[in-house]
Amino acid sequence: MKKLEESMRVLITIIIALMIGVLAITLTSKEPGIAIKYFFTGPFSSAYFFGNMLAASIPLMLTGLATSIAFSASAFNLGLEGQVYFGALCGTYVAYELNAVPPIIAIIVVLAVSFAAGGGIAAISGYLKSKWNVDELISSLLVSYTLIYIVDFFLEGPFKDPAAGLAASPYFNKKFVLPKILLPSDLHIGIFIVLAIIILFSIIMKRNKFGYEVRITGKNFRFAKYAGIPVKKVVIMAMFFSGGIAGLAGMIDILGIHGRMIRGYSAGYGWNGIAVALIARNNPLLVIPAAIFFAFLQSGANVSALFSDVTPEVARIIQAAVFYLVTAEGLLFFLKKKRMEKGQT
Amino acid sequence: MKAALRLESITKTFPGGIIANHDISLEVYEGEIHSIIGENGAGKTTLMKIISGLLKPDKGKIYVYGREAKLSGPLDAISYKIGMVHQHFVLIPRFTVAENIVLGMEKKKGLNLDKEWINEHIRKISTRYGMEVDPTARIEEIPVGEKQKVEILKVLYRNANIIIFDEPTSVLSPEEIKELFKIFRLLIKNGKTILFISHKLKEVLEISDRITVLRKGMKVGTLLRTEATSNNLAEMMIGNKQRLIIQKEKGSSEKDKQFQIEDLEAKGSTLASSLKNISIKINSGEILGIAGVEGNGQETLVNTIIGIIPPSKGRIIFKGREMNKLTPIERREMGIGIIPSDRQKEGLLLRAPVKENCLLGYQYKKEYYRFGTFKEDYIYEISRKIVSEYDIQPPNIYTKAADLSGGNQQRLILGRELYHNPEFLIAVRPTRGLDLKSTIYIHNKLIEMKNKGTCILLISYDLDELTELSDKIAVIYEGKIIDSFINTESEKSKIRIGVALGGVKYEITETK
Amino acid sequence: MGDLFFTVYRATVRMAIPVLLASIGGLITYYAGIMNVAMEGLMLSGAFAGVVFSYMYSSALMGIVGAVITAVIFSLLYSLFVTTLRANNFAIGFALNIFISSLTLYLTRVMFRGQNAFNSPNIRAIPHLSIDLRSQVLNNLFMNFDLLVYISIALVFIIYYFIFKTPFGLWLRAAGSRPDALTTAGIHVSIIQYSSSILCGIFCGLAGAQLSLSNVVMFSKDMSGGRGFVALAVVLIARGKPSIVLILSLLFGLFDALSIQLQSAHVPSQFPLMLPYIMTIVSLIVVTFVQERKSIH
Repeated sequence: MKKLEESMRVLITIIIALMIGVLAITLTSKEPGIAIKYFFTGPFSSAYFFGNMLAASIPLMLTGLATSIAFSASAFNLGLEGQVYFGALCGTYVAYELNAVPPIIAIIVVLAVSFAAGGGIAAISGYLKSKWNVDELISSLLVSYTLIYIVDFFLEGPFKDPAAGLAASPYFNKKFVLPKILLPSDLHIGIFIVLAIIILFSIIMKRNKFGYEVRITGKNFRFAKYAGIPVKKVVIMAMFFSGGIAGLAGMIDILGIHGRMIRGYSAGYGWNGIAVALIARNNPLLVIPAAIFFAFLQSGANVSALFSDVTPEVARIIQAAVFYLVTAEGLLFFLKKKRMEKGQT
Repeated sequence: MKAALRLESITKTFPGGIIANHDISLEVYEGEIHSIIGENGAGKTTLMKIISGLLKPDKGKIYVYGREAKLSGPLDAISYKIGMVHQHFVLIPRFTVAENIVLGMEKKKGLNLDKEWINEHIRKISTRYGMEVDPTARIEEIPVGEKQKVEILKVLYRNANIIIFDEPTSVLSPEEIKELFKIFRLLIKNGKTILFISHKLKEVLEISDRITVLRKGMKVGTLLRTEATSNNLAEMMIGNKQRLIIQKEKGSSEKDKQFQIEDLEAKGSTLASSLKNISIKINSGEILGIAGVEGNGQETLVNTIIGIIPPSKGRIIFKGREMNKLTPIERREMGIGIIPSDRQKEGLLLRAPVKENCLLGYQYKKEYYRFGTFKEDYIYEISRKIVSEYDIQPPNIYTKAADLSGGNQQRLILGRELYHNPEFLIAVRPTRGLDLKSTIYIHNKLIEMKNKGTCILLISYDLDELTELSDKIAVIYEGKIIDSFINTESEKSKIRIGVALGGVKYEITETK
Repeated sequence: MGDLFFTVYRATVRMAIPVLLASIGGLITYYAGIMNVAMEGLMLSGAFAGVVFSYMYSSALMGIVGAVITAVIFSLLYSLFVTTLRANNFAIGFALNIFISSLTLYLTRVMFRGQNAFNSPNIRAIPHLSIDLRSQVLNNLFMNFDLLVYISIALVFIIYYFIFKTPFGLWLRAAGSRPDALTTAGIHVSIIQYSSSILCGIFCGLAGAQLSLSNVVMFSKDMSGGRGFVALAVVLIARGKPSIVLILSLLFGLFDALSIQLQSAHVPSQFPLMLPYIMTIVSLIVVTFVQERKSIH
């Protein structure tokens, strides 16, 4: 009964948000009919668009998962943007250096490096929080802003490919690039890696001792201390995993699609990941559909922009609207309460 | 006698069909102290919230000095000169006493607060009622007793004539309670009327003019004090005279089962709560009661024993083994269980189901896991067992802990801790805020454990509880044990505790 | 040397103002018990509306008015969800930030056919105050800033007075720490929270106007550049103390100004750009560390 109500609510929310999108298109387009049609059907109209949509959802799944892990420990990791970007840079550099190593080993090492890099950065905020009670929300965010500049510096300076027309690193060994699934689209086997990671973490969070300790710490910090849980370590570890997964999000995208690091390629992955996690209500498994839905809006707008006069930014507006409506859990609560009060008098 | 307040058939039902008040009619005479007693959940607080305008009754009328009163908000209650002193202080810690008192009814001078007038006015009221407080002190800096005075002053500042006290004694030391009752008498002398909510029979018998008993949302009756005895009141409250306590058995002094602390020192959050040279010994099958006013080191003591705070000096020994260096989990493994002082904040995950709460604190145990994941069926078994053995209502392991009543939450904690057969149990205020029935249940369980040979450290502010259960009693004051003795006769022990609770002067100056 | 000093000094003041204004707005909601995560978006909406109104009416005043009204509207929307509908304030704050970021960019493209920015000679900048103080030094120190600079500094003192001396300030502070104390005193907490939100909107709107109608005269994509979050950090670090808010905002302005200076020197541009953020992290850590130490002793 509750489940049904919950899914109805999500459905209604999505419909309202899509209606807002339709409205935005209608108001700004000279040919709203065509624009709307492409918006909704575009992503499914060809293997190319469909594959690209799924490819776009891959990093979002991971950043969504990253947010929800930190949040389970009641920690806000707002530094995803920087962790994604930094993890990718470190991974790319190692990939570049490992040129001669067999691909399978190289890929594992590269992913481990990005995981450690992103995780290490996030763990700093976790450490500051545990040690001196420095607000992790702000510290991770500020560190992230700083990191983005640092990474930009490398891409425009020491690690820039002089031959590239834009700020980007040199390509690493082509053999490291993950095999594609649905040519000519960008979809790559990274999606299976990501699904496996999500399932793994979903089990860890629900059924494993570490996950249980994280949840106890998140729900009741004082109790966790009484239960003998090393709360400081748990918070740091949760931040580490969160940041590590963010690092993977950046690297898998590079390994699957770009083959090198490009300045600003991941802008928005972190923020959208937070949105995805909130829509998924911090449930690791629900992160999957939430990320795909987000990617659908984006590619719908992209396709629509190709064939009509709307701009791709319309997707962002709809995404924000969905986010807005889903997070406003008070909305239905409020309506229900009103109804109950009426029923009483 | 004239009625200051008259209630006529007050009925209030909460969503979900819980009847909090059913057809309650009541007269409170001008100038009397009228007590309302009843167990937790009897509907006292709901009734008081209705009188103070915080809740609207579904049915019924309220008359104040003969006039029908429509109370739809706290402001209305104020305009009818009804004031309420809340059980949990509604005070802002960082504000001054004066700021808290005038909040919402500020006297202004231009745009500013007229601080001089306000302070002067508060001083005037406080001297009249014998409640000296400094209007410029910050709430966070004053002791509990004074905070309560601020609550009373808040009500008086608003010119209340009918004052409701919701369980005012639950946070006070015996000394402070005496002082409160003095204030009560001064209030009555100045023409005020008092509604006193309590579940402590002794206090009610001491101070009231008349006593109304509520049970399960209904009025059982109103007695004159002269007609009331603790026996007939208790009978009216719970409908059952029995207060069965299992026979206590003697403990043994086997060395390898003892719990012992030697010359322990540890830093608390304040100087008064830092431990200074504490030594205690609990034999197997013995209950040691620690008496003391809140904030005198009890919390530090517990946290040091379970391993959250490292001691700066001294030894903690259990079963002949020093525990100082052990982690909290290793200590639990040695057989230490704890019923924490705040069951909601330290004992349970309110938003998690009963089943998950049954594991808490023991989540490290290997037997719960198979291949690194929970053995669901095993955990299901354990939780079913705890729920049925401790008669937790509703008997559903998927209920959220937050949805259990206070008594059932405490049973859940007790069940979880006792399931692991602790050899040493720390029970901090185990019956805090519980009704008589649950209290008796918990007390019996503790004695049962004791009789089985468990060492029990009982920390409480409730002298009845301490003297009824303990074999030995120690009084803690400013982080020191200033008196300890064998509890033979409860009345004598109470007097001895009462003296020690205030500390001894020449020892205070000794502390650094 | 003197020239450099004045250049940096004047840039410091200019760059500090948006953060200062937003922090004051954040301070007010902080006291009312709301950690306002939406300031980033509110500032951005102010910056955008400032440019649009200034352009449409060819008037800086209309620009400021437009900025304030727009930010207040969004701020009320935030309050509606947080206070009345009881939504999670972080979630709603982020939703609002993302929404405003995409909406402003979308409108820039649709309304002005711009790519990521919009500028035009028709956008009127906020006028500067210039009274000759008959001394080069005094003029350099106090004159030729835009009017908002003077207004902001005056506002710091007004808000200080307002929060700590008036009954409304008392209610505001009570709403944050013990809302039930207000309820039992017969005051609606939600009214206080809405009022604080309106005030915060006004301040964020002004901050946005300062960004887009004075520091530069144009609108560009995400031009608030994290300053709303820096303001949030400033409020949290200061734990509600207006004097510390003032100092930290000026410090942020100083590093922003230094970074402008360094960019013209031969330093890779990223290092100067990250300076203000590093400064904020360091002060966050130092202040928290000191306060934790204090609370132990």
